[in-house]
Amino acid sequence: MNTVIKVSNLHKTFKNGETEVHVLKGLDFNVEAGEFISIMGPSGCGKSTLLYLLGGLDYPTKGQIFINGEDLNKKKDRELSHMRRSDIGFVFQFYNLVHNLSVYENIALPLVMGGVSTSSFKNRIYEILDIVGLSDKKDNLPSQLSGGQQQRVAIARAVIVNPSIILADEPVGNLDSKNGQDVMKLFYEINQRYKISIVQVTHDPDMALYGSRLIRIKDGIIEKTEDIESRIIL
Amino acid sequence: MRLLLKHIFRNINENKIRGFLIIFSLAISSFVLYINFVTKDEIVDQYESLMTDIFNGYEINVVSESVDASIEKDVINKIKEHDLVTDTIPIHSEFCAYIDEDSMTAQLYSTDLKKLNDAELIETNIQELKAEEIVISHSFSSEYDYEKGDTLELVTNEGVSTYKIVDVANNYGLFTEFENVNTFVTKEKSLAETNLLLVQAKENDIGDLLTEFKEEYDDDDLAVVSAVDRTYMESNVFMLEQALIIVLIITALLNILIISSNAKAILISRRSSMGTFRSLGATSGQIAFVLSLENIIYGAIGGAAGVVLIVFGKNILMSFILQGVLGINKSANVALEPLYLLITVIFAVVVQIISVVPQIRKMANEPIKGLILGYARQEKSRFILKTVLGIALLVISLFLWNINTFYSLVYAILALLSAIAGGMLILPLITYCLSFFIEKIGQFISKVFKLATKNICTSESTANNIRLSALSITLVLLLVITTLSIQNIFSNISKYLDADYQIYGITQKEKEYDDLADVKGVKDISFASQIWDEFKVNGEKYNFILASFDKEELGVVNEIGDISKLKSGEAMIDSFYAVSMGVEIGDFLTIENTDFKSKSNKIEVKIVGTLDTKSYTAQRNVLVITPEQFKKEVRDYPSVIYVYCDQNANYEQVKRDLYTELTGENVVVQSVDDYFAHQEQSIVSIISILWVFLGLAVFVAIIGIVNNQIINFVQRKREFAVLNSIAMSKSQISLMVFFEVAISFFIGVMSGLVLSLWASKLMEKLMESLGLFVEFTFKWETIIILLLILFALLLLTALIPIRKIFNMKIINEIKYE
Repeated sequence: MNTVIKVSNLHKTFKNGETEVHVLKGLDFNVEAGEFISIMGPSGCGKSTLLYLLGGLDYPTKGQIFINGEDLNKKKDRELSHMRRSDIGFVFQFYNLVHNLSVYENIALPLVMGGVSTSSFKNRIYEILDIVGLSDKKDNLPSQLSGGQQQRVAIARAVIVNPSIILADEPVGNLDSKNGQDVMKLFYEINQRYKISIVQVTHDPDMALYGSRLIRIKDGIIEKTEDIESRIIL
Repeated sequence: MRLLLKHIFRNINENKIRGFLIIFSLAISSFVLYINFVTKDEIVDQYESLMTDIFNGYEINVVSESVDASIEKDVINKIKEHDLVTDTIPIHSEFCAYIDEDSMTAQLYSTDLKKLNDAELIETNIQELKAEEIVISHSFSSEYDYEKGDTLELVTNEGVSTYKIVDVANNYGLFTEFENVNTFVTKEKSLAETNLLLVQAKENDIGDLLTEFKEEYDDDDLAVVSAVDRTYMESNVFMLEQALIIVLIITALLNILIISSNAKAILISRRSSMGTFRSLGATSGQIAFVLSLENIIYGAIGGAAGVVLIVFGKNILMSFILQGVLGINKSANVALEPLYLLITVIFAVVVQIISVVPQIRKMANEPIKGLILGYARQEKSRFILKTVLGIALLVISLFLWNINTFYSLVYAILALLSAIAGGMLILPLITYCLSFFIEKIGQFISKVFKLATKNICTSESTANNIRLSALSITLVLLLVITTLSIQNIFSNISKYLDADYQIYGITQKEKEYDDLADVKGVKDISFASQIWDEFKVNGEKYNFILASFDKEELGVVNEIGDISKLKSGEAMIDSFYAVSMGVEIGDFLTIENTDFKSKSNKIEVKIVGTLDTKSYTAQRNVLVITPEQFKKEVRDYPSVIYVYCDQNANYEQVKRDLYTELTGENVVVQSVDDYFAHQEQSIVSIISILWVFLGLAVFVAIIGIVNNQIINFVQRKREFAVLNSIAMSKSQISLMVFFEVAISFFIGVMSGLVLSLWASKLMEKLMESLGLFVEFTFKWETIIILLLILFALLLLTALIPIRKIFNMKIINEIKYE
């Protein structure tokens, strides 16, 4: 298996005036191609910070992150942007859809950012709309959708560029359990169908079980890494 | 791209109120720019068209130089038979006096009325006049209450003549209501008595014919002039042009502030979307592109709205300007120039982009995580940067003001702009300092007051309100101080002008007027000689006053040298004008003008000293030579006669007697008070135009403030709800908001006051650089009353959030907390 993410001695410190908060204190782990990793830990342990660092949305204070063998530290902003629109898909807790674009347009947005003609991806967009079960809602605005439906749009948007990794920050944290499970099933299906590696941050043990491996973080260090034996298999 | 454009247009559609403010502001800027482009041409064109209508093709006037002389028959026939001449009308023109409560010089045309009618130079119902019959103008009829059948007395050289009014000519041709209320037509005289020949040529031939006739006939006895003189009006609109440029600068500045505060709010609302874009792989350049594109579209819409405003408003405003400048009620017909329209749209886009560039740069370079999660960037470093930059700009404005002893317009404008920009940038510091002291005082007043002061420094909307109110107050006060100070020009000049009447329109030598001193009630008379025209000085063209004096008088004061010791061939120049002309003591000047008496049309002088003439003319463009040289080489008759009356004189009777004495000359006897009133009125017309634009700009600023109050409430309603749920009553919260609004506007008003005082000093310099010397004075009573009114108006905007607080549903607001 190929290693899609390699994290080595990762540190992150935040400064708030005179105070320094050492959030991540030397993390080391790998994510292999097609893996579905769940990261768990208490509030403030650095889960989301780790995810933003993996996506190149923030910079580490020390240490290295390799995405598909390339060191993020050596990449310029333009190259990081290119990586985000080709190799990484993001899914946020609050969906982060563009409120005045339709479902179809939100999904097509990463293609627009990459300068790709959306018409040539029409079939793919329809295929993904079908997978996320929103074919009949393609012209709706986000405000006309439920939370679960909005998160499906966010997932479809993450998948459209066929990335090697999807980073999901508390993807069901804002949903009820029924919708939460539906979304997690969708992640599982995408992971299986497209072999896209998924790293999700969650504080819900039930949702963590959709992954194949669990990384527990506490006080900025990896407390435990374990394969999930009781993984939910659909 | 289509998708991005869709997104942008939907964003614009979502921000209707703020978008409207931006577009309205840009439309006004574009409108003002267009008016700047077309005003001069429109006024001159209207003047030309008016004169063309009045003279209906009879534009070339051949006039005998002396009032008693006539044009030789041979000359009249020669002109009549010229190939390019289509018609001529011989007229005997004489000046007589109309003596009444409002006496004046009247122009009596003795000519063939049928010919005038046929030539469409007059519109009357009769074709022929008998002796002692007269046709009067419609305007004279209505102004002096004369009707057909009345008798009219005029004082001519032959004594008092009584005429029977046989018709009132329509407002048409030579009787058009424009500076010719005093023209009458009587029975024609013999051709030998012709002293004015109206010559008609085909439109295309007028220019050539005028040049030819000037060369052939213009001499000591005859003058060949064009009745339609564009250059006359072009030189008269200079001041209006300058005023409009100042309006444009002020409007653009105010708009940039209004737009930047509104656009900032719009852009802040876009942070989360931009964060999403960034997370999906958009580079900072792409973010800047999307935001810039949105603002270019705003600019283009604003420019297009400006074009609409131009299409529908240009003629209305221009008619108003024409009324002010030409004194005529004529509908303007301003052409739509595609190039100017394009420039105004581009200008709107540029103003918009300038207003938002800092915010776009900030957002494009903001950390993605902050954008997504909605963290505001630490503003402390920007606060310090802004303060330092603001102080630096204020120091620069002081420096530029101090070194600008050579009246550079660029330096003056830069100083004013630096001061206003610097003042705006240090507002957060002033806010911080003042609210600190107010907070200290506040603890002795009430806890609600103290709480209110704490919020002042932290609220972005409050900061916007302070900025908008400070700038609006600065501009309003600047205009008020300027307007009030302009009156100083006249009071300054009037200090040196102690005559009771001035007579102008003089055409004869001084000795011919000696008898005026014998008029009953006249104590003394004096003469002044000056020409205000365009001269060639050492080959370069300059527009100035060439005057003669033999001592300090009428506000002409020595600086270096002494006028009384001036010799023929020597000159003294105003020190300001010397700088702008690049002339120094010791320089030799050759001054040329075709109207000079000397054969060569030139005089030569050496500059031997400098003068201060700001009390003589606000433009200070004065060069003084000796009376001897003036009479010998420039002109041998005076330009103005000053009449000093006895203390107990009957002033009105003196005026009537002066007119009677001056019968036969086209003179105007005007009281000095009337002269100043007339001058002030012409300035007030221009300033009123300025007020219209600034009124619009301030209106936009007030809408901006109201808008800020609404946004402020929306942003803080959860805070108000929490305060209401734990400790404070709605009345207390309302009181807190009222204190906040009052304190913020107090800071805005005080800052605006201080800034306007400094800006006034800079405006004084700017006006000097434009060639207008106005001594700025501060009429505190007016300023304070105005400030109190404005402050009260601003306070009224507090009613908006207070009303909303009382209507707030607490549970709805705190249930998501």
